[in-house]
Amino acid sequence: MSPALMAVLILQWIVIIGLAAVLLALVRQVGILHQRIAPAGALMISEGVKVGDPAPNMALRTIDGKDISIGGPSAGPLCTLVMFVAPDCPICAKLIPAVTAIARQEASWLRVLFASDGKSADHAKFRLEKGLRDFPYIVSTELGLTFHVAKLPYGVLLDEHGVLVSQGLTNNREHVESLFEAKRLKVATLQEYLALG
Amino acid sequence: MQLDITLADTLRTAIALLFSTGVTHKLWNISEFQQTVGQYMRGLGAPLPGIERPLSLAVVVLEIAIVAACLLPGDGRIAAVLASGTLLLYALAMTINLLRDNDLPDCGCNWGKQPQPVESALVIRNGVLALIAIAAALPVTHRELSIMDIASIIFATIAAVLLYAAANHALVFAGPARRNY
Repeated sequence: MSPALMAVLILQWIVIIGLAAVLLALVRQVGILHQRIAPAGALMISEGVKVGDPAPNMALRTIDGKDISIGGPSAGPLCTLVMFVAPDCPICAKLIPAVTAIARQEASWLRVLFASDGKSADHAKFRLEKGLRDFPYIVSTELGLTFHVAKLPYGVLLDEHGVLVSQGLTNNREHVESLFEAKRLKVATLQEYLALG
Repeated sequence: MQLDITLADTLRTAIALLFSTGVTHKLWNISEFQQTVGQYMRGLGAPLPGIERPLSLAVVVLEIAIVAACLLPGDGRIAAVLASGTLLLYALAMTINLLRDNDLPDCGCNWGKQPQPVESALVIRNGVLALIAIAAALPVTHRELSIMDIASIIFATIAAVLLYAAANHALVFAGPARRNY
């Protein structure tokens, strides 16, 4: 093989490997962007319990086996934020630290519960990994069906009387805080408030 | 149909790399892998108590045997048939679980930390890999390897690893994207 042909072949391999490396880097970057960029808007997409209606009083059990009540007048003096999450939801994983921080800051008036459905073993592992030991974690299909949760992460805010005051797809901290703002402004969503002018 | 020795050696090296990274990941996370094997068995309708540990060790031994068969000098047909058969076996296990609606949160085959749920795309991936692996069983034209041949084997293997990693990353991230939005 002539030296010129060898040089061309080596150059060709360098280009191929370079292109493959760039492709890998791009795919990784797309994945990272996919995890970081959430769909726009804290959308209220549920057709379950309507805002302003009392949520059904549900006696549930946490993953630890403790009894817990959601909805109805027996919910206690605190408002309740039910965060629907899942182990295979990348945005949920990003959002959980923000929600736990909010829960600690707003502990005087808010209790935060995490909810999901599926196999308890997966959720027990997920709960430990995400440092959610201090928060009630409920694995209940019934709870998700009650609020018609179709996409995650989804937040449902109930007031101290168990009335649904706000809910929506919460892809970041701002979306979660928008639920509290909607309660303060006495609207279902911030979009509704903005539409009022 | 005959395979040039450079192509045959590239295939064997790539298969060895594929299984060696897989077996390293399994050994590194052996307890998680045992859980995954248990989930597969439940989906297959054979939830035999205590089977996870011996079965996961058997998988690890099988994969080490494939790596050894690829790297040791000699007939590449054994390595090719073992690799292709193993990949098809995994694809079959995944297909049965999918058909029975048994959601598996992790295939037990991903290199990274992010779990890779079992989906039909993974069955197709394994089918393609099995086809590539069985190609190594074709008769090989033997000749003296030049420096350029050896360089080609190394470069082609690097390119194959990078392309496979890119394709696999796309599969890992495509799954959650389809489910959540």
